[in-house]
Amino acid sequence: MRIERELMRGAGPVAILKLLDAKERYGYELVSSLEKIGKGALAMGQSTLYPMIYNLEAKGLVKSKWKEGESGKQRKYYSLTKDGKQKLATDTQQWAAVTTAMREIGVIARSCKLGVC
Amino acid sequence: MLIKKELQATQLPEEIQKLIRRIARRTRLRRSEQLDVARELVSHFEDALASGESTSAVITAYGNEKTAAKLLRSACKRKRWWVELAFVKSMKFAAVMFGCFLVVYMVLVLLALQRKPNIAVDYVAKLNETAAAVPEDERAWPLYRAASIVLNENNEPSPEVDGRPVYPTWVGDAGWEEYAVWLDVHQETLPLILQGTKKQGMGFIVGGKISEEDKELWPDAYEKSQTNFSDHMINVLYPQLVHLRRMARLLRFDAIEAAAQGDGSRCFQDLEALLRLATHTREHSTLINDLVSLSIYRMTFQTIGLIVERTPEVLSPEISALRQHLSDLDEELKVRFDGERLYILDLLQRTFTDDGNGDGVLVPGKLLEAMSLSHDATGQVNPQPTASFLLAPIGDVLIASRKELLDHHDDFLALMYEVRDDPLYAWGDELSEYSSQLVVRTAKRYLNKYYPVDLLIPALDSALLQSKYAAANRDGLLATLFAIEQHQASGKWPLDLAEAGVVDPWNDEPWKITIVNEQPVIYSVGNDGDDDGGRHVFGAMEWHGIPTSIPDGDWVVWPNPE
Repeated sequence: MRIERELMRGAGPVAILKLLDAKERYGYELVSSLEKIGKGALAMGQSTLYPMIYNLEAKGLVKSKWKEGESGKQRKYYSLTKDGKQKLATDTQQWAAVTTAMREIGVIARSCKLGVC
Repeated sequence: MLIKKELQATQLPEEIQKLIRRIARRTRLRRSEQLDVARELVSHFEDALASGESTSAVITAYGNEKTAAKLLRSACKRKRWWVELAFVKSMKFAAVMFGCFLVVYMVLVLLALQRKPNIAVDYVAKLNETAAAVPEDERAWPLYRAASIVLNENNEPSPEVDGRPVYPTWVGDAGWEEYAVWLDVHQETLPLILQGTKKQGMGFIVGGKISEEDKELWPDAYEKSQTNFSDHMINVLYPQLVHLRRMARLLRFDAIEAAAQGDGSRCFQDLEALLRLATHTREHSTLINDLVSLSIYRMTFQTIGLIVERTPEVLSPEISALRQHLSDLDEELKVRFDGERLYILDLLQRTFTDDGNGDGVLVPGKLLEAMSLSHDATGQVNPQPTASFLLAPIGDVLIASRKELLDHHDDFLALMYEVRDDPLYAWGDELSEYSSQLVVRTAKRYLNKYYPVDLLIPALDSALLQSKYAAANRDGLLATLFAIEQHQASGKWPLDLAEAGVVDPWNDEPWKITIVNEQPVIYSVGNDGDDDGGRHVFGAMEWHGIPTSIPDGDWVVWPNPE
């Protein structure tokens, strides 16, 4: 299931922040992780992902550095900054509140999980 | 080139390399930023291909390259240093503001271009009113013109003795022979001048053009004025003044020769003619006319003083008449400012619009044109900068309005009229202060909103001083003639000059007389204001702005100590 652009504009950055909370990642790793973990729901155009990361970087939520990966290949790795962690915490609470509210209203069924009800 | 090299070093297929190059180029970011984006895309596509995807699938999965480039550009720009972003924003803001200003300015220029001056009054005609009112057969100028043409052919000599110029003051002095010849040559010129001085007025019409009648007298100026003619009052020519002075010099030397020859009648006639010539010179109410007139008056006073000193008997029968004539000159010895005001009024009507209530705004280019004319004594209208009209809105801000300028000028004239009748001893600091301010304002040029008027304000305080000196000369002469008359009547010199009818301009008390070696010495206490017993000192008659420069001594008027 593909998420509408407006919804994705709000969800995308939070998802990226969450993925980077666990460990630092490079661009393509983020792309494939979003596809796999979200089972396609959070998959976004690759052309959109990089600008989104750059924007997070411009806001000081994410920082980047070129370094050699395990394969010996040079990649740009992204990680969360202190501000990024705070932002993730705030956004997580807000998303939880929204999800709870949506569930209470009945937009989301109690048994629904990742878009499957 | 760097990106191309970087890509060639990779194992990426040609299609992907080209895609990365296109995206990087389309971002229109800086070289270093494009390189960074390209490197990340290389890494991305290598990882994608390594995951087993085909080239076409990888390209498709990436998405629209145009959108990608656009998003990358805006995202990368956001990543720039905040100072740089602030600077760019400021520059953009400044550029927009400048653009708006430019548009508004050009609208103002276009509006200014619609302005037109309203030349409603012929101020040159106003200046000529007195001269034009003189009946044709009562005009002295045709006679003066004829005399001037002859004088042009044989002008005043410049005698020298041992290669040095000499200035004879009396018959028999070194160099007098040449003056005797000069007077002899002009035996037919003098009657023309004498006849002219008996006329009601001079009747010379001034303007920017030399008339046909005067072509013979001023052929060069006539030719020039035919082509470079401007009807601005600034360009009014006064070529007659130099000739009036020349005629005065001829009369002076003829009066001296007549006195030396004992011809009192001829001498008195010449002196009376000199006084009339000075009056004719004042026919136009401009400062330059008044100053030339004053110089002729002072020359006459000095000549009379000299004659009564050297040949006291020659003018004996005429002393009373001379005293009367000299006493009547009070108004003639005052400088007037009417003509100067006409100049300003003409300047304003030619350079400003007319709202019908005496106010208006600058007409583009006209002020520069007028300024150019005022700087060019030839009267030639110099070409103006082609884009001078672009300065119109700036001129509106920097230059006062028509009414403000006239009020400013009138304030100045009011002050001049206020101090015009002050005696020399009361000549005050107020005027000096005003003159200093005027000099400072004029030096500021276009940062002074009264600049156009200030520039045209002549040194009226100096002119006023000149008129006061002339009046002082006249009063000293009147005191002298009174003493001579008393001596002729009683055989004794008077003990004081309280009955002379004039007062010392330096203390408002009667002029002083003292007897030295049985000869009278008539004097003023001078600038220092105290009586030094008739001890003459150079400069005692003049006003000194700095108190320490005032000389200690008196100003002896007769006999002439200098």
